[in-house]
Amino acid sequence: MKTEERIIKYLDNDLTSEERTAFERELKSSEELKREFEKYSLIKEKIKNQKNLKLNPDYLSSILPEFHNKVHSGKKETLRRSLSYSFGLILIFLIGITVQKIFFNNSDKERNDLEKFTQSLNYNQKLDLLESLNGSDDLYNIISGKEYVDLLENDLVVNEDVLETYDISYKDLIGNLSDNEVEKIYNELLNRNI
Amino acid sequence: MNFKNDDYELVQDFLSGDQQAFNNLARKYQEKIYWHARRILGDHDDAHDVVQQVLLVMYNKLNTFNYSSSLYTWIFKITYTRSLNQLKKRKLKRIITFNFSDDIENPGYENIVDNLENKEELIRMQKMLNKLPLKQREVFILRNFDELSYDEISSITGKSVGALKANYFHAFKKIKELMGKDEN
Repeated sequence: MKTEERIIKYLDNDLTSEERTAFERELKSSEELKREFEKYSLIKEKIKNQKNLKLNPDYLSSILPEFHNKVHSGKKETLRRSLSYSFGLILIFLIGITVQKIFFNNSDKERNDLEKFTQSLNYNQKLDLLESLNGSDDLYNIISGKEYVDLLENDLVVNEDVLETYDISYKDLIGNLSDNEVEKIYNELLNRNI
Repeated sequence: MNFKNDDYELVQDFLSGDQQAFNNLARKYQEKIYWHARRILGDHDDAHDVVQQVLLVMYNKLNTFNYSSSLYTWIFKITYTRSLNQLKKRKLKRIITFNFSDDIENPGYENIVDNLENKEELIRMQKMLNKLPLKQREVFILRNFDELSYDEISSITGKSVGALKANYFHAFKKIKELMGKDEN
């Protein structure tokens, strides 16, 4: 056992009687052990002095009255707290409903605004819009250039969700072709050996 | 059973409806509760809060005390737990208010302590205790100031006697080093 450990255990009454006797014998003969022992003993002495500290009687006598005051007002406090919680819950519920209404109203309003906007577009503007939304330049070139139009529906890649959102129907795109354009397209198709 | 007869009688009287019995119990232990909390927390206001909390727990929960330990140990367990909670609350408060100083807000020596002949020694000891890690501080205080056995400390803290002895050894060594530095 190291010296410090022996000293601390000795002061803590944690040595066996044999260990204690041996320690006390060594303490008498070893100056180094004595010096170390005194440092620890001094701490014990200071602790002992502080255990004698007393609280101010005025402070002590104020503890119980404050406690009893809290206990008696605690009953009123419980009712007040319950009411506060109930009020808080009702408030949260009302705010939730209000937010929900605002959110959904905005969502419907937004949809209506989009539909009105797209209805106001002409044929080319609708195509421009679809192209930018689909992210594809090819589709725009094919349809707007009117040089090469593949009328087979599965070649005309159109985002159905976009169409639905912007309320643009497939027929709106195709229905605006003139008779000459339709004739031209028909001849192209014949030459392609589909 | 390990309890003092007068504690037993006071508890029984209180549970039978005698409020004065509770007051007598409170007066008997309030100072010990205060000093334990004070040495753990280092602050008068926090220690005062803990005293009030412990009295409230005693008032509401004495009917659950089953005499498996002494009343003293039971009260100390509550004090120990509440002191640790107060410490956590204080740390959280400091984070929220961006106050990262370790200075004690209200040592409160002048008005609270009666026979304050050597205020400097008290402040010095508290500063050294504050520098100990919590595990070391609590066993050092419970052993030296509260004079509890290792078995009692083990039942209060839930830690093994071996671990407590190890922490006690390191705490004592650290206090000795701090005292040496302070004197130099």
